[in-house]
Amino acid sequence: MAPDADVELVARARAGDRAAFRTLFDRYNRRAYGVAFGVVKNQQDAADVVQEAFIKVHRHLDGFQGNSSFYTWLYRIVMNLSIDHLRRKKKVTEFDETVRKDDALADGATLPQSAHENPAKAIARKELTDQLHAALAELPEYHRAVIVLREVEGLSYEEMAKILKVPKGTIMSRLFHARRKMQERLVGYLDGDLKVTE
Amino acid sequence: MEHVQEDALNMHFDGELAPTEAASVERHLASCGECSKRLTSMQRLREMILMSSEQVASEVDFDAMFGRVEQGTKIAPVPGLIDRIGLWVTESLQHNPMRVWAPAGGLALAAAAALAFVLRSSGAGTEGEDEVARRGVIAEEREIKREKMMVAENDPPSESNASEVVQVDFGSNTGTVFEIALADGASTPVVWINED
Repeated sequence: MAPDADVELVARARAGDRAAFRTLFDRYNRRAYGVAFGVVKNQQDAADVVQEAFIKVHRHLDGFQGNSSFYTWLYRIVMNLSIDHLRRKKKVTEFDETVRKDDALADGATLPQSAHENPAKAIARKELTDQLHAALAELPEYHRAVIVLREVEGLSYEEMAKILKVPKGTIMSRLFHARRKMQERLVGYLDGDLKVTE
Repeated sequence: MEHVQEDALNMHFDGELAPTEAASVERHLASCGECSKRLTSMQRLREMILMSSEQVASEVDFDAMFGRVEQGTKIAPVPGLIDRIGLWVTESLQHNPMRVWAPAGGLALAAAAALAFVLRSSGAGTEGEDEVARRGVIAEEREIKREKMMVAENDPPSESNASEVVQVDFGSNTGTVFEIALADGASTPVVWINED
């Protein structure tokens, strides 16, 4: 049986169908989290953003006209909340940077995915992830937003333009600049053997 | 050999080029190691970002998150105005009583002032109307008296409506004070001065 279309799930959720809302949540939570994490660069902050985004979605289901796709609407909320979150945190940038680096070292995000993983591979994975996060963190937020929407979500230029409310040409410019910066920053990793995800 | 422009290579990588342009880029890539390497670098960057995203997402307890979302979406019934005022008063009395007593005192004073003004205005209205009527009558009577006085200044009051009260000696002149009866039953004194 074909999965229910988003628009149908939205209609049912609007009528109070909890299961329909749960299906929407399950369908998009990981992707929304990936987008939020790509921008805020902190796991707890990303979780807070996604949680708040789905609460907002639920509260404004009546206002969803269906003119855009549900995920476009959701990602716009996620992106706005992520950027708002970053701007609030800018007041404590230096302190935040210190904590973030400490968190990155302390949390399990870059540890081996399983106890059976090759230790050398785990170290390579950790180093790669750390470098990637560091490179992403050096990008301006508007570059980070566009590269995450493209590389994680696979959104088209047109869809990104709608979500970020900027012209399509601006999206292209930002994306190409962001990629070039990341490639320059990660040149040693992108040219070598990256087969650490097997 | 002319390499693929950065914009075109990015658009080709993202599947945003028109089919004819995409075919042209593909033909170039087939024979250009440098451009192929640039494209491979883009692909590896995408894989790294995806891997990182999936990794961090795999550690999130989305069931627990959904529970918090549901908690956040429970819309508490909106209390009525009286309930909200009661709640505000209760909380304020506990934490900052002046927040209640200061405006309450001000409101009481304002209410008292407004009540006094209303009472006075309603009383003044009645009294005012009476006063206007009374003053109108007095003015009318004075006008009548003035007319009578003028008459008296020209001619001595006739015997029919005047009674002599007293004769007055002014030194070089003499005069008579009359009490003249008016049409409404009242009377007014009139002084008649003899010219000679």
